[in-house]
Amino acid sequence: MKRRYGLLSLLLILSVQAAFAQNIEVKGKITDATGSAIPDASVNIKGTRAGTKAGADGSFKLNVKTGATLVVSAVGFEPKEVIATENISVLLSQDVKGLSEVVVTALGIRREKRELATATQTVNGDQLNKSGSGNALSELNGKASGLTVINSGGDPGSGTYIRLRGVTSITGNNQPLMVVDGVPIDNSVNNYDATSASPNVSGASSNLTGGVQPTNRGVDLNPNDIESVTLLKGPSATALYGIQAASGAIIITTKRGGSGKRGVSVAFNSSVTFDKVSQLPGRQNIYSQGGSGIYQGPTGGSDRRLTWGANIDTLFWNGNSNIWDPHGNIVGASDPTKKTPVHAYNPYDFFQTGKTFNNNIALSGGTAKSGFRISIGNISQTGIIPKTKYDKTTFSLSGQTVITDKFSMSGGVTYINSSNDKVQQGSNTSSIMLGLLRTPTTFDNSYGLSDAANNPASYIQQNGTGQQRDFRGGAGYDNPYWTINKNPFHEDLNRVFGYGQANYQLFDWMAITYRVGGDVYSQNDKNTYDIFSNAFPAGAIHLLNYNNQQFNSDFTINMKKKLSKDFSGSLLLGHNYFTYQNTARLSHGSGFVLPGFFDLSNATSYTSNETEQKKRTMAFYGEAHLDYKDMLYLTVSGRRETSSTLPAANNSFFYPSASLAYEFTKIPGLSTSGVLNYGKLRVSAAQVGKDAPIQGLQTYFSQASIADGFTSGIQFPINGNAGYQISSTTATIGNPNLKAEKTNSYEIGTDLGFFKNLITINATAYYSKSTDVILVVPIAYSTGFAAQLLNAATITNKGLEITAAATPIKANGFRWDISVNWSRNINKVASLATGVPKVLIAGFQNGEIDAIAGKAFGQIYGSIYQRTDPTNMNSPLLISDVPGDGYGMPIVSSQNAAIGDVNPSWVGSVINTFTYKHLSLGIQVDVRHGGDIWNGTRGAMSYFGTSAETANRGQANTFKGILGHLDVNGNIVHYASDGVTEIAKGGVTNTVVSAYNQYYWQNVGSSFIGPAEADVEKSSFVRIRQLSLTYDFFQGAAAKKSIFSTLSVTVFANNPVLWTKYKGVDPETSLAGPVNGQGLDYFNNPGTKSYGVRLNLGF
Amino acid sequence: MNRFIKNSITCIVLISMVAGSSCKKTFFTKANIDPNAPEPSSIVPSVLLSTVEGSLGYTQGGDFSRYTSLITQQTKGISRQAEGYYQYTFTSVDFDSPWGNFYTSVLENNKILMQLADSKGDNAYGGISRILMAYSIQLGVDCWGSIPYSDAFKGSTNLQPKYDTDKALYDTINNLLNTAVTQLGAGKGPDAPGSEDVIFGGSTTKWIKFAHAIKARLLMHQSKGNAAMATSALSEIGLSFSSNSDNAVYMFGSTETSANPWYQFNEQRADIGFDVSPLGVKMLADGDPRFDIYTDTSYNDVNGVGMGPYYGNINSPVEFITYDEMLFAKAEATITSGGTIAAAQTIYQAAITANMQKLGVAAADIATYITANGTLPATATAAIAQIAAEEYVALYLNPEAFTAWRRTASPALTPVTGTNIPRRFLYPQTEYSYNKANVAASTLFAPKVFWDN
Repeated sequence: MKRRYGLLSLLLILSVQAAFAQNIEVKGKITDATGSAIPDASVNIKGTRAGTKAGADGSFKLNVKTGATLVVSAVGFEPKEVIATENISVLLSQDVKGLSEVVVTALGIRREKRELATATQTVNGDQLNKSGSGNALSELNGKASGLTVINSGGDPGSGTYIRLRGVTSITGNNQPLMVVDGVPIDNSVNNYDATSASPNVSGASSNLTGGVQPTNRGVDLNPNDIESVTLLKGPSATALYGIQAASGAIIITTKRGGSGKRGVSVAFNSSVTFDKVSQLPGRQNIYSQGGSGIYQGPTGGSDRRLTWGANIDTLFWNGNSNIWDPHGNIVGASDPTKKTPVHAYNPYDFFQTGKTFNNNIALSGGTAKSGFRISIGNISQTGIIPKTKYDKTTFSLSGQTVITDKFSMSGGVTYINSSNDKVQQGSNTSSIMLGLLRTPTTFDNSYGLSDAANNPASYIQQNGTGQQRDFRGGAGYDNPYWTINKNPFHEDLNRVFGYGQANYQLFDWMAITYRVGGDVYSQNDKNTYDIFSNAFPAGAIHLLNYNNQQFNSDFTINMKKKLSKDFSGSLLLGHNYFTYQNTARLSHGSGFVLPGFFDLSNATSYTSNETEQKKRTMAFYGEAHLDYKDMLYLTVSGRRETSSTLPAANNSFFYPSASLAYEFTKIPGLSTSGVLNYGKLRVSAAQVGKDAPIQGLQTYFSQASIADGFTSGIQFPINGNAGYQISSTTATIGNPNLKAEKTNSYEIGTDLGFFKNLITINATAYYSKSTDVILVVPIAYSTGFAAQLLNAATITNKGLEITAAATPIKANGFRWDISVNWSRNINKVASLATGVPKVLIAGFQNGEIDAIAGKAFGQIYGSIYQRTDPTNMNSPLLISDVPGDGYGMPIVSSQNAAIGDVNPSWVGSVINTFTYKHLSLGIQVDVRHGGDIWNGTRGAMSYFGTSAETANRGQANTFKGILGHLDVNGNIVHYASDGVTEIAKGGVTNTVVSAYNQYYWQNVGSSFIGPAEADVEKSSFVRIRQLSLTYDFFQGAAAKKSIFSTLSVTVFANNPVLWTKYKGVDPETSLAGPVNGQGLDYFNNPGTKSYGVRLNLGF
Repeated sequence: MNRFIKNSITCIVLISMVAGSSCKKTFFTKANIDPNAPEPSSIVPSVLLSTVEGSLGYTQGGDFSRYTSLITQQTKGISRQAEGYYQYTFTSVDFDSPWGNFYTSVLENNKILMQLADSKGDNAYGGISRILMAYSIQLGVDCWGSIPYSDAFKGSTNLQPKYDTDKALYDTINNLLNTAVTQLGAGKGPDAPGSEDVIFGGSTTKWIKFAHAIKARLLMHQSKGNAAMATSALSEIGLSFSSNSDNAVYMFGSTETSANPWYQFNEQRADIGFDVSPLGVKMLADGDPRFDIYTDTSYNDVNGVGMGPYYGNINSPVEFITYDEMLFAKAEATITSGGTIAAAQTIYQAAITANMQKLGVAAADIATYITANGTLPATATAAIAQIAAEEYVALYLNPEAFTAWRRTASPALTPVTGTNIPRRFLYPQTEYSYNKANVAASTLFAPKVFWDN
């Protein structure tokens, strides 16, 4: 990623003193923006060849004439000219152009990109603030290869799943470590699904099918504070971080202040964004509420839950307004009271335009030796679903100072406060989309009111009962207007993270650094269901409090020495200590006395729950780096880690890594061809691992509770009696013999530059094999338990990542830059555990995401149509020859099978930037090719008769297949001509003419009752991710004449165009949220497309 | 170079000292212990007994009761899964939940209770635990046939438990009950059950009666045309319950988190109709005074009529074995063992009376009902069919109704779809996935439970 915007130039400092023209001894110190010494910089007297080289501590001495100009240059930094004085501090800013760029690698070590032998990619901070969403993680989408980013949905504050390369863990975390300024920060999902049959207060449960869109704490970051994000994609790059970064790392460097010419500079930016719903499932508008072709109203018979009623053309309103419909009751054509013809309502009127205001102001500045930056940001968002809100304020302060020649310090702290109003989604009767999409065409949730979201007449029956007004007469599913008013979910967050760092130059070749940092937050959720809510008809309240704290300490010794003429080397030794604690407390009250009073005191019964998890790790690590003639670079590292989650006997383990980079264009004559100006080959091998889940070594007793899949169950204490259990359907047997997982990884890559870097190509191929992968292995319940924790699985990943950039046109003030990211990962769960063919990751009884041995992680598994050869999914379908409803239709098998793979075959993006004078136009197009998604939403809509597909009701069809059925023993047979005698195997090819009727859609053609297979869809898409047009007033020289240093206005659109065959809300949707179980759509809240304008101002 | 190495070593030593100061072994291991879980040594039998009783009540009153009442048409599924189940579209996955709750929450916890009680010499808890185990295993056998028991509950040490045959398990149940009765007669031991025993409040006398009631069931299930079995059953019935106050039921609480499972289902799902079921239709036609107790015609829901107060309230009981069932068994066994129809009829009427008294039916209504329905036909076969048909009404929502119907083919039920009514539960998908070596193939019709052949 090229850095073209010179924000860093603000950070330059100059120290100028008047001087006499005589010889002086200049004592200088060269540092980077963080105050760290820049070793081996060249200091030359301008216009001469004379000069010197700075030492490893960045200091130099030189005799020059006063007033002479010194040119200070160092690899990876922009050269700088300074006037010579006796004591001089030179602060160099990074050279951010092209392949000589310096990247921040593990532990904040800055390396020239050319020295690196591992796959890393850097995204500049200004690329992360383009959509106005304030979510830096979601903005990473498409901006790097090997990166998967999936937003759970379009709700304000919803989460973002992020992954580098493939899955290496089955039931553990697969998301990369997030590091801000050298200190790991928490990216957990603290989520509680109150409607789940077995709610689990401690983070993500395996069945996240209800509740609100979960938030991962990584969304707290303020993109305005981010200078750059470096993705360390593979284990070779992250080996120094050890277990925490076994799934890669996201290294975030925040912006800092330096002293500028103007003393203090101010950067202000502001954006306004308007969100629209992106895509919604198609609905039929021809048939009314009811069943079997007969209309039933909200107070009618049991078929009122369906939309299989009469054709709307045959129905009329009688004009007598009532609480269900201001147009009156619906009657048939022959009814004498009929007045006006019925037309379909549009339930999608429910969505509104969301608005986001994003403002940030940052002050930075400093003196010759110190710098500071203060930034205050606020994002205030209302969602496309009424009453959803997100308000986040961040305050960050950072600074650095050079105290003596040898001693410098830096530090930073960020405070985040957010408040989030969310709504229910997914599989619960209070879910917005569940109620909305099942609403019949002839029922108006809004009661025709323009402000239905605020007018109780839309959602409360205006008859004094207080019951809710919904299409099933109060029962069934919540009216969406009821949910937004009566089932509020509010989340408050207070978070502080930060660090302090001290650097001391012990000798000219050796420096020590100590850095300590922490991340502490408290998240409070309040989730209420008023009386008459269908999920908790008696009313319920859930108060959740999560307290998370983690602290990290790194002590490192950096040594750097020129070993001989051709060899130079460096050695880093370090010690790390990390501690983590998460406490979750739930207070649950149920059975409200007063309607509409959302307080714990209003409940008549209470349960509460507390979990506390702790973890400590300690490590020694080292990295040796050898450089031969600036063309061959060898890096060897090792880390010995001790983790509290493993048994004492196995809790320490060692991981080595080695990498080699060879800049072959340094071979004399090779780069002078004029075509290839830069070429590097790199190979690396590394081993990393993961420790065990917290508290996984023992089988514990716990407060007893029991639930089946249908009801919320019972929880002890009951009637004053305590109950404890050792087992339940969620109980896992602890394993006192666990050991660390291991991943061996190998990668090979090349970085090439053509035509003076007009075209650059980076390609990396990798292979990794994870063994002894710890997972929760399901076992037969007849063992007395549900699962055990084992080192069992083996997973392999292999893949290819390509990043290319080019500037095809650069003439007459016009410039076209293009960059392409492409990646493909092939994952295989080689084995799970002995006798275990599959492990549930997330989902439903009939539509789940699994790990299946022998297949890629993330298989959709569920019921299928009966084939004539049950072992062959390609054999013809068995078509029922049993007279009755299903006659002539496919039969649903009693066996389940893998029916889809959520993994795309490749993903890519193309980012174009066109610049002409003051104008620049950016277009980012993202592509996902392949991968399946289970569209359970459509399945349920088809069952209920609201999906667009069901408009074909009545249409005749002959289903392809072989006639037959299953006998009482489950064998395939068909009827002889007498219609009674059963003959083994299938019979003749089906010629029976049946129809796409209500029976078909309810039992055969959709996954709601029928086979999950019916609703597996392709999730391929091409979408314009971002479109932006910027007018930069000071492009060129104008800035110098103004008090402003920058002034630009951008109009932009996010996700404005989507091409996909996927019929659901969005091919990029995730019911379970930012967790492993991707690929489910079951009444997910929709995504958004947005339009906005942004102002950047600097002075 | 030398100085370089020397200094490096110095630094490594320095780091080690910084880190080493906090490196006691327990520093790591202690952090990993769950502070919210009780120490195993602090667990006492009472906190396990309440768990086992509650879990059994919830499990039987949940999936077991819903599935069997839908199959036997005591209830009618009118939407979603319940509608499918009513039409026998069960798949193996549908049985994961009842099987899972049964083996983990009920049986594994009960096994731990049994071991703990035995190790402490708590005879009363040991006896109660065995009776609950015997009752549960019989429930499992009657629904699934052969199931794992002798090889089960071994956790990680045996991941693939073998199945015991259904017939052998009936002997196992009998042995468990014999040991239990002995234990309960041997003095309670240092720690005795009290109020946490929701079923009998710690009364060992009542538990012994329950043990005999289970034995009576074992015999009754095998007694078709077997006079000797029926005679043995009669003697066990004689040792079992003597009034409704002996009934083995689990009373649920009055809070949402201790609510009766049928109440929860109707509140949260409401996919099952009660008046529309063949049983509901028949009761309405018969003018059965229990109709308003079983159903609630004022219930405002999409499904028309809700479940009545006796079984459908938040704190309603889930019944295991009750006095009226013993009386119906006694009436049937009297005929099978060669007694007169007249003798059986007296008991049969007492059975109906006991059932109606339990449900709170007014005496006059009981008398009216018995006048209309209290006479048994003259032939043994027809008399047993009528007893069974009445017992089917009395065993409302009790999985035993499914067993009684399979055993007696009474009342005559018409298949909702196809030509067969299910004769058993499917083995769950989890067994096919994780215990494939041992689990047999199963459909809803085959293989039948041994006493059903």
